[in-house]
Amino acid sequence: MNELEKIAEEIRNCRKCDLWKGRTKAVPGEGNPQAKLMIVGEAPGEKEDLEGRPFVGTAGKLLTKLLNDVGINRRDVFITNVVKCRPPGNRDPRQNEIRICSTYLDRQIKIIRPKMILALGRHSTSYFLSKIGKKSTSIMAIRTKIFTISINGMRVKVFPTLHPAAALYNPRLKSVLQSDFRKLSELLRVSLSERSIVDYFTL
Amino acid sequence: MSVKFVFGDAREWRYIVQSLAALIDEACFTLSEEGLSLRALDPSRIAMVDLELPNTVFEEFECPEETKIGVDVEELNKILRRGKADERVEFEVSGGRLRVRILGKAIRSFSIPLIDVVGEELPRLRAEFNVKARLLSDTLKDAVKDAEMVSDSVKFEGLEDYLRLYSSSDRGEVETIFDRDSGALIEYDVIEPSTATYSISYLSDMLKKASSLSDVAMVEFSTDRPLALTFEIAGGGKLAYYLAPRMEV
Repeated sequence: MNELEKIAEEIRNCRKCDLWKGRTKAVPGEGNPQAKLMIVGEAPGEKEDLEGRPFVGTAGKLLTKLLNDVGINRRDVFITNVVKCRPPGNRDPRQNEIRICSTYLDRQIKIIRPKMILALGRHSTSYFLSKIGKKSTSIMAIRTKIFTISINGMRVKVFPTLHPAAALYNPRLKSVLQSDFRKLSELLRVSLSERSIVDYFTL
Repeated sequence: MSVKFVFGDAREWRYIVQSLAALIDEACFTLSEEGLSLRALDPSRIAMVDLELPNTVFEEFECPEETKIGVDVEELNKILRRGKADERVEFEVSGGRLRVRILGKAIRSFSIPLIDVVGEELPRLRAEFNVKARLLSDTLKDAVKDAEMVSDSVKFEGLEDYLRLYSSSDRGEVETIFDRDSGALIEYDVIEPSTATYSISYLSDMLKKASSLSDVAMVEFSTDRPLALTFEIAGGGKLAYYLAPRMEV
């Protein structure tokens, strides 16, 4: 069992906050363990809770399409949430739930070592902003404004945008998301071009 | 066997350790008769830090044989934040611990455990720099800060007559020119005009504390090659950072 699988197992057995009481299945996340792009949403919804997989509902379908449209295959990325169990009635995750559960996320990031994190929505963005001592205003104000965080000394760029679910309620936001994903794809291309300093060493 | 060294300015040591903290969380110092050194990669492996402090930098230096000491940089930093410019600082390695004594009006002693740092042996970097500029570190820090207003990367252009830092995005464009007549550019040598782009996040962290170590920074680069950013430390030491370029693909 590799380290990511071990974390997934811990998440499935986790009882650190009360969310375990209402869950059907915990949702640790899935995807390429060496992904250059990690996608982090807020918390599982109803369908995710039933299947134990992230972004498999209607918002997930839109996410997959947005990725495909800019040439990113869902299998090449790692998708997860800040909170791994469904809050009852899809309510917002509480601060203590985020604080407790995000330790799993930090460990996942440390193992995967992505070049970039796509933060979907207000809660995911707020979590990453808090790592640099900043508070999120509105997601519309901060979307596409890339910032760099450090997790255990490892630097990762964070690209905030809307949660795809927002576009389901307000179709006008779909074009905003499409535009943001085009920008993400371009930034990822540039980011991937940053080689390790080791590549320049004399052997 | 006891390893002991004394540095004349506690505040300068604080700057050195804070400069290391810009890139690494754990440090493995190598001590030998010649002095103290450290070479380490940041966890993302985009940058490297190279610290060399010959024994002449220290007021006292005792190290009978090569010794490696691993420390938690933040823990060491917390201790050194207690030191002032007119205080000396003494380090002693003994029994698996690092004892730090700040010698001022009173003698204050601190002790932290040594840690096992799994470091890799890093070979030397290929040094082929076509542009070399010695400039005031504060002005370089300002130029990087300005560039950060519109982008997360900055392009260094070393042309015959001037060094240009340029950044752009849909948020705007920012440029800083250092020419030979400007007071900030102290020495400038261009073997071949060169251009390379680097991450502002790294540059900004490197300059934040290291610019306190020295008023002057040496910037060296070549087209699409790493950038070397070196600060001299009084007494013959140096702190150098190496940063991988961003490549257009």
